[in-house]
Amino acid sequence: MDWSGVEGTQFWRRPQIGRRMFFRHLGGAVSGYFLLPGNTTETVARAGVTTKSTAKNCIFILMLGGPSQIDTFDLKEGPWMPSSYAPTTYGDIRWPQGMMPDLAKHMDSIVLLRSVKAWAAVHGLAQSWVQIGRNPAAAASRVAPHIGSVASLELTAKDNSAVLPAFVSLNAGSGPGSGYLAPDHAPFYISPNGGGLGNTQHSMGAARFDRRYGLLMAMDSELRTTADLGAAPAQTPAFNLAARRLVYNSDVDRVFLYDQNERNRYGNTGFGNACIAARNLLKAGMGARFIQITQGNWDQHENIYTPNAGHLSLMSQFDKGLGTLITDLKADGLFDETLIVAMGEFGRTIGNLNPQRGRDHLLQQAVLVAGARARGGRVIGSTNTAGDNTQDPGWSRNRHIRAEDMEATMYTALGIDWTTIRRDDPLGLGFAYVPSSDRDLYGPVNEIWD
Amino acid sequence: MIDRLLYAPQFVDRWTMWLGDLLQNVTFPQNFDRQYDGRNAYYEWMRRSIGQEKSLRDIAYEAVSSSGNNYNNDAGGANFPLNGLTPMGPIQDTWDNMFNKAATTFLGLSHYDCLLCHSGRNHLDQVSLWGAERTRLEAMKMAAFFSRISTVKPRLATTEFYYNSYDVTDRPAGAYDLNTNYGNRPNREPVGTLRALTPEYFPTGATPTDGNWRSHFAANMVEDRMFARNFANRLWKELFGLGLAEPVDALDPARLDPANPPPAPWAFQATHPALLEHLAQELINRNYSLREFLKVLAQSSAYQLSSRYEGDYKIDYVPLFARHYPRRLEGEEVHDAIAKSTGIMAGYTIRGLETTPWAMKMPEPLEPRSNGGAVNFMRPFLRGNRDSQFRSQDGSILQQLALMNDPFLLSRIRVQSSPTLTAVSRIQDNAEAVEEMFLLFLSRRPNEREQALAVEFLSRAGGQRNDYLEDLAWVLLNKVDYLFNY
Repeated sequence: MDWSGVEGTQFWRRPQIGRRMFFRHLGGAVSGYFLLPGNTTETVARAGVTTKSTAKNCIFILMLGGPSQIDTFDLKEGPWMPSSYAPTTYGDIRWPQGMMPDLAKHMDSIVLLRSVKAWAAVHGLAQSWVQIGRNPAAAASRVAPHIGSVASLELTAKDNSAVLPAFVSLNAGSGPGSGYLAPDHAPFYISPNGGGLGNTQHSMGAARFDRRYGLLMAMDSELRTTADLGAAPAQTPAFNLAARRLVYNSDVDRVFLYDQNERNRYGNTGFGNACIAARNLLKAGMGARFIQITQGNWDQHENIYTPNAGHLSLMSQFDKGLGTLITDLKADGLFDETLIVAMGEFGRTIGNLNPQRGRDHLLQQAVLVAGARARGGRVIGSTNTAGDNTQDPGWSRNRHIRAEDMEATMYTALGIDWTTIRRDDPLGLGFAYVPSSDRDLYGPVNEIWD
Repeated sequence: MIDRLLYAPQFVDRWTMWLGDLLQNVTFPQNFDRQYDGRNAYYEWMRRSIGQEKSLRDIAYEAVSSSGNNYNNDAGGANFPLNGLTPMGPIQDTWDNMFNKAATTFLGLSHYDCLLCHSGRNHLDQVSLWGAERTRLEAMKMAAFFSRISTVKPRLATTEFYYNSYDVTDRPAGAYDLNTNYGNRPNREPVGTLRALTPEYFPTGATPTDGNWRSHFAANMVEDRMFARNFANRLWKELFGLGLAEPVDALDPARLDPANPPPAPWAFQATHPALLEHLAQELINRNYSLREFLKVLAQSSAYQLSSRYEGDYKIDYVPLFARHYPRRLEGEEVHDAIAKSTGIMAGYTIRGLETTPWAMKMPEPLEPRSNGGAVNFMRPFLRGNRDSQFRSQDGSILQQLALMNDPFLLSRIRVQSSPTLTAVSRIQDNAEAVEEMFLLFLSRRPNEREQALAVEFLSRAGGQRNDYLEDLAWVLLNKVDYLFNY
């Protein structure tokens, strides 16, 4: 059961866990039955766990490329470290205050998970892994939706007033989508820059747009009501009307139009701009509930400590953007109802730099969590002195924290029963929100709150 | 008409795109880097195969068994096995995946992916009658056909053309060792005294007679009844929108033979088992010719049905193919249709290939990398990346926003810049102009109601007739039926 010493990527090496053990693990949380595999009559089965439900929203920051954990969330000091880091102690946390001063001010609201380990050190594979919460290479993953798509499915059922899709993905043009779930739950990709939401203004002017749209409605009225061409074209008018609602919409503009002063407050970067959009989206209450912000370029194999470039520049951008976002969410009363998770797809090599003065891929990584009433100012888990392996898992399952556990953590915060298994997937294999939850192999890091 | 389309040059573009999706030609898949030169060689090989009417059997045979450098057009097919390269594990993981890709693509048997980790019993019982009976040992013996492949990057200076390429060859010796204790699949351990596996084709039991095991697999594969069924089903889906058996890459051989119905409670996997079997035979009889087989489908009365259904249509009728199912245009098709109907062509630079105005001529759906505007316009149409995200025909809000407001589209429906719209603007008679516009953008004439509405609209133009013509062009591009092949 103790996986902490397990190396490599043996994700199949699952401890075989019996039903009794399963119930013991869940303790009092199990209120009902658990559907055994093979019962195809049920559409959805849930173990009936009690969820944390402290979050209405989730902001998932994907630090693409794999940030160096020993330079950020699991700081290790050594001769390699630039003096600009100015490491400072905040309770349990040792933090590169010099590079990340804005987040330093919020250390009492931040939890750092340090016993986290990726399954694979290959970018594409691991990036998909953290976004779908399971092994992308597994046969069943072909139909697996993004975590945000599952959140969309669960959360929009409770919210019919939405103008925007529940799952908004900022600064990514593509990635895992809604899998086998309806296209309504697909990520809504936006790269905000303060200039408004793309394609919501008509370059020929509003009057021309209205004239055009008027004729379109008149000419298409029959096709749009009779669904004469079948199912796929019948969906199109709904998407068209949803799109129309976003065009020349002052509410949408209030979210996506912001000035240079505002951009400067957030660092005047693509990442900062996305943080502003995330704040505005949550403030506006237009239906966006799961917001992913992708920050690229963390894959720093060379010259990692060049001032104002690469890794160091990314640290500053991350700090300014997220630090200001937390400040604003607190001021708006949204911080306590929003779970923030920031992580890459894996970590980087430790100690002295490689011959190219960079850091290479490593499975060990660290994760930043904040908001949603997380008990901040703490670290969960610890690594060895070098920082390349977990020393103390620091949580109830007593092993590395995995992408699947982070997925369960997001679900439990959002009040989504992470033990749900849907029986509506096209492969007929059953779609578990968190894989192997029927054998209790993964689960939320409740220590974030406890 | 059918013959004209089958032998048009655009047929080659369209079906090379299809083959590229199927054989997963992409420069940077998540498991390895094929590089641009590898992608181009793979693309040229496919293009030539379709253009020269190579049979599907020969294409598949070459894809599985080709040797050579993957940057060479002649060995372009050698890029297919590379798709199986699997990091973070022992070499057996790569052999497994090479076999799995071949079985999924050419036999419709993606359940081998499950079987390469564990036998079917207690795993596939609810899913596949065939799969539930299969064992991991059988699957590994199939994978063993790939255990002599060698994929080596020649050691070269970074300035050399072949730097970062792969030499794909076959070693004269070697077997599938049962000796792994890490990686992407469960440990492979000796079975009794058996410490290594040699190839055995399921279900014929054929074993290789000489050293080139990969060629033997390819030869067995193209003679497999599942090979013909797989392509008959996939091509049916391409034309009809829904396979006779779904999912097309997870076929259940135990539930396909019309002469042998599966035991209760199982039902045939195919909605029309006799038809699928008949089509598989047609494909064989036509020597696996793509064009000849598509001709059979296109000439059928089923294919020529209207997408409109006279009478009360019920969702239960879907598997009956009682009407034609509209297909949403792909991103490339929308792009090319707008370029063609407006007459405004861009010249896209594609690394290592000829400049082209046509999206359908692009070697992979991430192109044209040289033109962000075109990529942005096509992105919401879900072209996929052929690796972790597959092409999808789903609709979305972003698609509709793109059709309403994207600069790619709006800049092309200007009378002053579009030669075709300029020509229409010279037609004085509104009714005639409207008819021309419908033909230009929708390839059909307007119905009476549409005609009346559009003529009335143009009659209000006053001195702004060109503006109103542009408005009409926008309306036609945003009509529900524009986006669908119906």
